[in-house]
Amino acid sequence: MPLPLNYTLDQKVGEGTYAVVYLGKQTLTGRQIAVKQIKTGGFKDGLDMSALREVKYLQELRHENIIELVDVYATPENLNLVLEFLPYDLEMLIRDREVIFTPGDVKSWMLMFLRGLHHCHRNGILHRDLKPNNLLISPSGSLKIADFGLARSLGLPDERLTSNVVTRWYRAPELLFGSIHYTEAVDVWAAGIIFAELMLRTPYLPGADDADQLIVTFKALGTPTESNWPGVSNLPLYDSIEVFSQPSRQELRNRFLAATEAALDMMSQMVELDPSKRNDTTGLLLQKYFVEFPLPTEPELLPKRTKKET
Amino acid sequence: MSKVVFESEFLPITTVLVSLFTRVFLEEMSVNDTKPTTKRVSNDDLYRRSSQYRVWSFTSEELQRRRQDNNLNGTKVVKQRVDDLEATTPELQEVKESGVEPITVDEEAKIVAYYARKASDVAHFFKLPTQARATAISFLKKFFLMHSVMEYHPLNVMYSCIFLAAKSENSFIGIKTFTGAMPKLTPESILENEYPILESLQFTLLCQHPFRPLYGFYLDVQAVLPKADKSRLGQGYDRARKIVNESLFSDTCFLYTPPQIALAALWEVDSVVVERYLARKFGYKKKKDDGLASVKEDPSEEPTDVKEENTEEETKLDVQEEEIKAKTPEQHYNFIMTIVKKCSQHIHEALNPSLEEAKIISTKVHFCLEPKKLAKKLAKQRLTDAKTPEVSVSLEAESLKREPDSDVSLREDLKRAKID
Repeated sequence: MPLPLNYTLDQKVGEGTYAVVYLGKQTLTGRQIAVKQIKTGGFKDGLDMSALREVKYLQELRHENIIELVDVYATPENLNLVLEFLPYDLEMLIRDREVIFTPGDVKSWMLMFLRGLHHCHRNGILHRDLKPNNLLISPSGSLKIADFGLARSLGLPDERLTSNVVTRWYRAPELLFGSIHYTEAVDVWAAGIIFAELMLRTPYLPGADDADQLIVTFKALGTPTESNWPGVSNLPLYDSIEVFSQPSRQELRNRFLAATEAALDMMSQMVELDPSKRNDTTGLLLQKYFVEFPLPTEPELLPKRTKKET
Repeated sequence: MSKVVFESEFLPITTVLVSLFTRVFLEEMSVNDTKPTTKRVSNDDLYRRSSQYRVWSFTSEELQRRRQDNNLNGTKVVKQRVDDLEATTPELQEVKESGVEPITVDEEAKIVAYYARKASDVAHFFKLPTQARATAISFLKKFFLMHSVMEYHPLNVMYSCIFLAAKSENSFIGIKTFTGAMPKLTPESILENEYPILESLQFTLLCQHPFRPLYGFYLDVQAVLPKADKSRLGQGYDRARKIVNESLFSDTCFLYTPPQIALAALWEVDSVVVERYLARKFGYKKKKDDGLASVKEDPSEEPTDVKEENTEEETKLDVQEEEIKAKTPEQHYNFIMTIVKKCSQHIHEALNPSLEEAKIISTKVHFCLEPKKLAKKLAKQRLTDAKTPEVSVSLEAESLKREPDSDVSLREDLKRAKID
């Protein structure tokens, strides 16, 4: 049984409602780690559900592109998750104006991201909160999917899921319409929007609120109708929305100036309105985009953050 | 040491059969190669990485040894408790001599099975989905693979397991609702066990149960044997579900994979269909006089055709697993049938102790946990009875006479509370 003594907690780096995060070291190896201390006392309903989810899913997922749960230990006051140390996230890089992204860099991040996501999906696990600040970067440049507090196992065909998941800008149209039977496709959509953001260096679909999110989304990618998405009008929140036409290839080219045809192909397959037509991670990993020139940048050579924490 | 479920002989059933109902394998591409090199990851590989395999799969001997060790520990703890009774307790000698009998290994198994069944009733009462119900039972069984009932009374642990399982399986029940609906429960009594349970589970919460693979097989049997009678398969599926449910109260989840248990359940209700299905799946031509002729098949559909129809992923899996390739279809078939039959026997070993039996054990557990109570009881008895009857006899009689305990009479309480 691991003892708290196995780790030193050197520096408090964050505090949330149910957890405090420390940076520290594994005493034996000197390895840098982050410890998420989850408060166990004082909660009406006991241990926090997202903490439970995080433990539950990270225990099952071991992959180069998913944050590693090094250890879990209990102290009388806290449940402690020992996680690998990942100094910054993709959002910080995207916002860092001094950092220049090459197409090879974007490709490298997307490849690592989709490999990690594929591992989640083949284990029957939906992440449900993909966004740039949940994609962490290791000191050696590897991208790792983190924060499984909203994750869940893939539902049975008749199981009802809550549509109130995923941060608004990355929310798939089936979720915007309140669907309670959704699949891995919601993660693929979010990944597609992140792909767009990596190319644009600015959020692709920044809705101001839930209603605006519909408009922003459909202006950019077209309004779902019975003709492009059979059955969509039966979804709970589907309403008569202004019908925007789907963007032509040329319009997409104009929006994503540096993207190759293969890159646009891949993105289009990720942001298909109809979730049943959206490609899955298996298909995406086999895209031409990943083998055509330019090749993905080696992780160690990817741009690093220039600014220090503010 | 290799575990029963994964002796190398085990490989075929997961590689070939698990892939029938879950998404399979995929390329792990190397980032920087011009030509992506691919390495297939089979469902066996994925299952081997799961905590259910890493932490919670055992051989029968390992299980037995673990239970004996727990029991030994528990017995020590009880002895210590009795010894710790103050010397001033006048009944100390009597308690020591006769009253507190440690629970035996068999009794432990029975009382845990009893509460596992009760956990199922309570889960039904709260209308929890099957997944959450099965997980609650699994948590309870795992907890008592780490502890003796002489350390924790299974009743309290049971409620906490249900509460925790509901939370872990996205079927959250508020603590007020939960305790309000059950007799004599307080939020503290539930929450105080959350932590010990999590630790006993070694922080592994994900449980795979046989219900999903059972459904997968049900669909795949229809695909592989298109001429089979649909209503026969449907009825078989319903009955197999009941057997899978019964398996929750046995050790099968520690000894076999969920698909193996599902297959065993299906085989039990319709061996003809399952054997035909497996023979087809492996391209094994059985002789005509094997009794399978009763399932009507188009004679043109030869097993070899089916082999060609096999999905792409299975072919790839075959390429990957050299050992499988080396096996003949007949060896595959026979190997899996051996597992199925063994597993089916294990399902029938599920314990189902009677209420009376459970009452007696439960009373003993109470005294083991709190020998002081027994001492007091004996003192009271001595005051009322001029002559003290033989203690061990009185103890048993006592337990049967006792006011219906909140725990053992719960089934009745639930009935009164209008289940469904």
